[in-house]
Amino acid sequence: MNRTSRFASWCIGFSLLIFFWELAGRENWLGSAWPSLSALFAFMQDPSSAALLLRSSADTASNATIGFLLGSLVGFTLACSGSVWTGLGPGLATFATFVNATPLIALGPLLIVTVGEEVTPAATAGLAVFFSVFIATLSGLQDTNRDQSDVLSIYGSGKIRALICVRIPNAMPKVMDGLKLGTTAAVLGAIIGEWFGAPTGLGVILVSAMQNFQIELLWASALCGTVLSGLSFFLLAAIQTQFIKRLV
Amino acid sequence: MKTALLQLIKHYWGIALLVFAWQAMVMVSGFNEIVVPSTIMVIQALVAEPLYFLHHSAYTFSAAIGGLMLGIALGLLFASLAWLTPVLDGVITPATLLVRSIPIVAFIPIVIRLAGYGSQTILLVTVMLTFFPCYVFALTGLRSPSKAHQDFFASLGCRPSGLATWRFYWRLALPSAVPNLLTALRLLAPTCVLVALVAEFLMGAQGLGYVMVRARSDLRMDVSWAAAMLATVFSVAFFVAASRLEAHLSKVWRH
Repeated sequence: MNRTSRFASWCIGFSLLIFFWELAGRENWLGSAWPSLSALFAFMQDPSSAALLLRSSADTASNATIGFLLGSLVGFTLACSGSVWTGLGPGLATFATFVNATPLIALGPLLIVTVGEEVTPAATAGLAVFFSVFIATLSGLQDTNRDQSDVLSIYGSGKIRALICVRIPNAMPKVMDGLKLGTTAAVLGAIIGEWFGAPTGLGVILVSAMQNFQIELLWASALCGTVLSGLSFFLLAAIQTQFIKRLV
Repeated sequence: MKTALLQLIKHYWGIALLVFAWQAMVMVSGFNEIVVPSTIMVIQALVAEPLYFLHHSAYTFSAAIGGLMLGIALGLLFASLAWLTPVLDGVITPATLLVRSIPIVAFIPIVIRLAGYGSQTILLVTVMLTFFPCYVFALTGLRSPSKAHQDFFASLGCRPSGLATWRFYWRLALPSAVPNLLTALRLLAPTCVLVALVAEFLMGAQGLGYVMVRARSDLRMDVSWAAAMLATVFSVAFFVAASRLEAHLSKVWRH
């Protein structure tokens, strides 16, 4: 299939989706919990609901950002230390797999007690980011080619110097990939964390809207979460392209 | 014996440290048992009511695994249809892009409202979550046979067109998709457990996610933590089993 026909079929796919969404909302095909797109946008333009959505999105964004920074810092540092002291490596890998497979929601009861309800969203966001950055860094650090490490050992460079001067710069493209994937994980982690009794945020209005049958608010807050995770992904992707342009 | 022990320490020191830190926190902070249960209390809670935990774990994991399998099956089915008719691919692929940028876990409250409070909702969410990645993985797999393989099949009169399509699909395209599907299984296994737990947590009817909420509101922190620990152990085991299966079968598949 050539480019134009592919583009055309995508357009058809999208328009069909929007058309059926609107129709399903107006005709109540899927019950009253499915709003039409027009009703949803009307709700989001209403000043009071717009203010609520904006405020909650900002709170979730700040939780996700804190978690993102902390999680990526810890992931990066642990991966670096794992590659310097190779004895730690297998244990760290098991630990990271364990953290990855641990359902975030299962950590909720633990986090509320240890860090408190207000910090829990940032903590879950951090845990969600940690794994992707850790794995990306570890695989990036292992990429060092043979010639470079030979040169380093001929000149008698120590492990830490080799790490800072050659291996970390080498690993950066992969680290950026890990960070990019981490952004969406951070937003999701923050929302899950907010379900454990945080005072504000998108997660809070999602659950309360679900329980109180506020369908438009429910959809609007889920939409805000989507926009938030999409935006952060594109932001990181833009940084990544700039970064790689500099590097090459 | 000694080397085995060393190996064990080498691989599991991180987790041992975690358990140690937990116990140390209990002892140092001096929190009440209602706030932070100790390791022993959690294990005691597990042993005291094994059937209760077994029942709820079985519920959670049958939902998670059932949803995952259904998602993979549907993903493969639609990928096969798209492999046959490119027009269908043009309709599904944009939807895939759209859904991939959606944090599906955040949509669980919506699905609960739409599908009602019950196990069908868990199944629906897991299918929503697994369908699109499986579709993409399966379609790339179906299209992955190398030119050499295709030429070889063509020389035997087996082309992806006309009457021979079915044979080409069954003998070449489908086997090429199997390793990709196994990768999808490994990647999605922990997510499915997470989704099942979240749905149960929000709906509050059955399953480990429900036990976590219920026990917390009854101030039975030991039970709540035991459920969380059980969920973690199962989720890790599920992930490890899926990666073993992938490693083993992809080795067999290549030879």
